[in-house]
Amino acid sequence: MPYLHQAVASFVPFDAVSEAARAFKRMLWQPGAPHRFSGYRPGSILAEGIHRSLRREAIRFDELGSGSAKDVILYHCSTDSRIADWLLLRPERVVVYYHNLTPAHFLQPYDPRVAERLRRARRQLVQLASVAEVAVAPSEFSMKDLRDAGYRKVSKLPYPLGFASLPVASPPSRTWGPSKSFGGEDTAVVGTSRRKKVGVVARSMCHKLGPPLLRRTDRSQDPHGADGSRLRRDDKLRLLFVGRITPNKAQHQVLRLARLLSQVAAREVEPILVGATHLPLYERYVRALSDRLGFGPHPFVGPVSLDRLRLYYRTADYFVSFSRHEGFFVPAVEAMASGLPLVALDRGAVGETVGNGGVLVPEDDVATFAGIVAELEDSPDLRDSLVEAGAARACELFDTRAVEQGLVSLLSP
Amino acid sequence: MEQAREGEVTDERDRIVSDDSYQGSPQGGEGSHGIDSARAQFGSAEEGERAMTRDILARGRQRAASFAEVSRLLPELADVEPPTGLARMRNFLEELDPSRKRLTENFPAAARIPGLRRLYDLHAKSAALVDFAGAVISAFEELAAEVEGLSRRIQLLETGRQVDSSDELSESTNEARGEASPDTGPQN
Repeated sequence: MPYLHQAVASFVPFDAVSEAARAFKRMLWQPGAPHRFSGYRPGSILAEGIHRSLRREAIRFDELGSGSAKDVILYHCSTDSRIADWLLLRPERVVVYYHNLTPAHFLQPYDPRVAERLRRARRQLVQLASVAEVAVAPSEFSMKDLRDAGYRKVSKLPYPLGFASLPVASPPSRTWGPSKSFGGEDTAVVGTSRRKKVGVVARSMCHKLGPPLLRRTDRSQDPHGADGSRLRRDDKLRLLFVGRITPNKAQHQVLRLARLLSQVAAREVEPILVGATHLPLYERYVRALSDRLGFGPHPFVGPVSLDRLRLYYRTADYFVSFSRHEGFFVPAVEAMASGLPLVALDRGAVGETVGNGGVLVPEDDVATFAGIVAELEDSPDLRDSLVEAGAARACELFDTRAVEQGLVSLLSP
Repeated sequence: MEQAREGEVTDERDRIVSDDSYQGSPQGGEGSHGIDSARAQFGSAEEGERAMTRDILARGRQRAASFAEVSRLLPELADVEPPTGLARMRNFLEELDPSRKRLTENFPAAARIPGLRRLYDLHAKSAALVDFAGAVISAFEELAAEVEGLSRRIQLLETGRQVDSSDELSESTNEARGEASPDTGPQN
């Protein structure tokens, strides 16, 4: 019986790509997994770098012995890696799961080294097309990238949100339309006073929040209190964005939106930017902009624990995104699942991910975003309806059957 | 260029919204907004939700018109970024310079366990030095590219003087003032 291995560049906690590999493994071989996957023996998770807390779950890619042409290596492509070069010489069948690559031009002005690595990753993606049997991606947007890179057999495989290792929540209540089930426990009730008590999910997937060591942040100086208690006490309008602080995610626009809203509405507005930085130069400029806009260092809460992340999702008023490039937008799903109304710039796979669960804005214009938030603030019913639509969309994305079916057709001989 | 493309998308979306038979929700009135209104007009949840989000977008845009003036006065990222690639690289090297800052201040355990902070600091500094060295190499590459671009422009300027090309002259003047120009590398 052949082995099914998976390969990732870095196998680290709180990372979307690593979590996807773990989720697939769990899905295929956990007790009670569908018998149709029994055609493969559980292989290894192979990685170039492995965080010490996950050493039991993965091995270095070059420690894998000689393979067989019947075995499969599912390679999660998200950055450059020596694994991509190594795969060109392996006998196993290669399947590429493409998480997408940030275009280098976004990062070139801020870190030429990172930009060069992304260009290398794109070259590797093209090279792998010659040996990959099939390539899959969680969005049409990424599938187009694959076709452009020369892959002939490309198909969609949803991101395995429904197989996350984190506690599973109950499905959102829905007053009309089809209802679907998450199948779990740990329901969270939306925390703001204005919001209807739709039973929505605080299901937080792991995602790209940076190196795990950086997560050990000292919370004693946290503007929201070490336990986050200050988040619940006041009447500020809170705008949340979750993601690495990088120019393609355009956190500077969130800050500008917050300032605009605070100027046009008689209410204090607080931007909250969750996520680590990998580009110190961009962070430096965004912090300078924050100072100039009068927010100081407060919006930058850094990488946070999952509990803390859930707290932000529960206590924020809006999830706003000006991200210019997403291969699949996990934080948007989390936000919708948490009952946050979502307003997002329609770029990359953002529209595909959000669907009708949020307001998609074609123009990169803070005034339009402010107009939308103002409208929603003045129309609580409309806002609640949007929350409801978002929760329903999150339900669809958590649906495990689509992932199972995609994997079955992918692995069938 | 980017602005023009975005404008096209906006126009397209405007047209879709205005062509839609969904009339939007009446102002005010409990239960008369968004999804309920859409549900009354459309058979399926999906169509209702789509109409609702388009309605919110259209209303937001209308409202945005009154914010445009204030929005134009907001500082931009470009206002805090240095205008040239070399100035950026200088900032970049400053950020990575391991001698500038303590690298382990966010590790609470280091404060509790004797010697751990020193160990972490050494480890972090050696990693930062590698980063710094890489950035210095990149900085020199950037510098070389800019000098090469400048040489080319000087050459063009000399040629331009012979043929009296005012365009090239004005571009080079901008360059001399430290303003970004379209083809001189990553500063844009």
